Amino acid sequence: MGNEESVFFSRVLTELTLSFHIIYATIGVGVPLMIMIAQWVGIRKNDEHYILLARRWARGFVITVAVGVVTGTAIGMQLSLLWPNFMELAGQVIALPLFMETFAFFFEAIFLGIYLYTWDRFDNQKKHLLLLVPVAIGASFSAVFITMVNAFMNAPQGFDIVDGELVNIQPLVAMFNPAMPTKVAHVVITAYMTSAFILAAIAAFRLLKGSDHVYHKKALFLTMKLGLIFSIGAAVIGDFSGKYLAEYQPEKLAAAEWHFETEGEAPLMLYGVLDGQEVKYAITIPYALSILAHSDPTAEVIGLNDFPEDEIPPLYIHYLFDTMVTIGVLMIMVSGLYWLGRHMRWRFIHSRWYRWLIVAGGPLTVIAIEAGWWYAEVGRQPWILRDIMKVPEAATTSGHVDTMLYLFATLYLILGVGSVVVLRRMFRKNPVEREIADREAEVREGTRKGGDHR
Amino acid sequence: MDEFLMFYAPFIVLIGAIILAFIVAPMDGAATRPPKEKKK
Ligand code: HEM
Repeated sequence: MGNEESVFFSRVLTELTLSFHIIYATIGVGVPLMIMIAQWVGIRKNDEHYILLARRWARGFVITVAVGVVTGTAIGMQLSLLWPNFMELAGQVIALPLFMETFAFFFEAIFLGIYLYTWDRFDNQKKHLLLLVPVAIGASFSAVFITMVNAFMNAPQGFDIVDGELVNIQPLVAMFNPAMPTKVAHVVITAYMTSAFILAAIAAFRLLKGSDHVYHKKALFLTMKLGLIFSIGAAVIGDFSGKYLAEYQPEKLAAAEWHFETEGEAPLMLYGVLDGQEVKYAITIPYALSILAHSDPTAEVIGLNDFPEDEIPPLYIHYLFDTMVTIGVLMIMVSGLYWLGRHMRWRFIHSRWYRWLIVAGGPLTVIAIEAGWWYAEVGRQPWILRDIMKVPEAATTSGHVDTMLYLFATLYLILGVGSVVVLRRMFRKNPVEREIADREAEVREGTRKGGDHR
Repeated sequence: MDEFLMFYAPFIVLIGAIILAFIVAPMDGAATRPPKEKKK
């Protein structure tokens, strides 16, 4: 295998691993907060349905954590095996958040274990809820630390290279790089958003399949409300990300918008096709790119023609950016209308087609996560460390990456199918209606602790 | 202005959204109400 081939296979394997891992990681970051909110509402309102919601979500969550751990370990291993030259530099400069991510995960895992095994052990549910705080903090901080490493790849700082040697290394400066705040906040809030819409999709699906139980209605209303808040937040922070790009990685923004000439009053182009440097059939929103980049409709936005040709990212990222933004706006509308419709008692939000739209929202937000990451990563090309190291310079020269690719692809297939099968069986075998009836019987007979949750 | 939007505002929005989520989550009156009857 030549070097070009090993670079190619390393790229494909890394992309496959990250694309698969991010589904489980996103759920792993977002769902603990959803569980916490549901249990908190249950305690505040002394409502058994919300407590049960928290309990069932927690059970499903464990399966996704398990897969996340396996694929996360695969990433750690592949980083060193496939990108050794990158890791040599990164290991000296940005290893701190990599380690801290592991600690955040242990923090989460230890308390998750205690939380799961102590349901019904506390007379006071509030004490049990306290155990969930470190789980939610650990989960979110795993994302914070690992995204810091990714931010460093986009805006490396905190070291100097003198005669090929790394000197003057400052790990904290590397961690708090300019890409960090927008990236960390966008990643965390979109994880909350995605988790809310996946859980909403499950509730809507149950209602579509004939359940009329108020449990599912409460679950749907709660998750749609949370989805609305977090999707608006994601769009606002996405706008800040645009401002970061305009300042620090203008080529990534210009490539996403097929913006060739540096000029003011720049419009935003949605979809369309590219003919040379001419954009055809696109939906054009006047001034919007200048506003996204600098909060000013007349501001100048740097175009692609200002960059050397070999430093321009692939232009197909335009469609990835558009997919992410379209799904974001769609989900704000779907959840906003649902929330308004609930208050205004509109009937159409209970129609089958609207519920199917909510069901589609689950997979759609996962697609937005994938599109967002592909955009952010492909948009950094040709660099692995912007302006310092190009991707081919970082890669392994091993001749066996293709074999690794096939083996890992098989592993992900087994994990993906396996986790879906286990989750389905778990919830089918123990339908919520039966669990509610059981718990009501326990409360009547007085055999359960914590009957009153306040 | 852009400095503020890039460095501080993302965390303010994130934390604000989490707090707002806890505030609005218990307000579920609208979820348990039946939809309006159709006009005959
Ligand atoms: C609705 C308006 C949105 C805007 C304006 C927006 C904007 C952006 C921008 C500019 C980036 C690139 C940041 C960078 O490379 O530094 C980005 C990345 C990303 N976006 Fe969005 N986004 C939006 C919605 C969404 C939604 C709905 C999701 C997923 C549910 C999402 C998920 C992501 C992810 C995972 C990344 C990669 C991580 C990162 O670089 O921050 N975005 N977004």
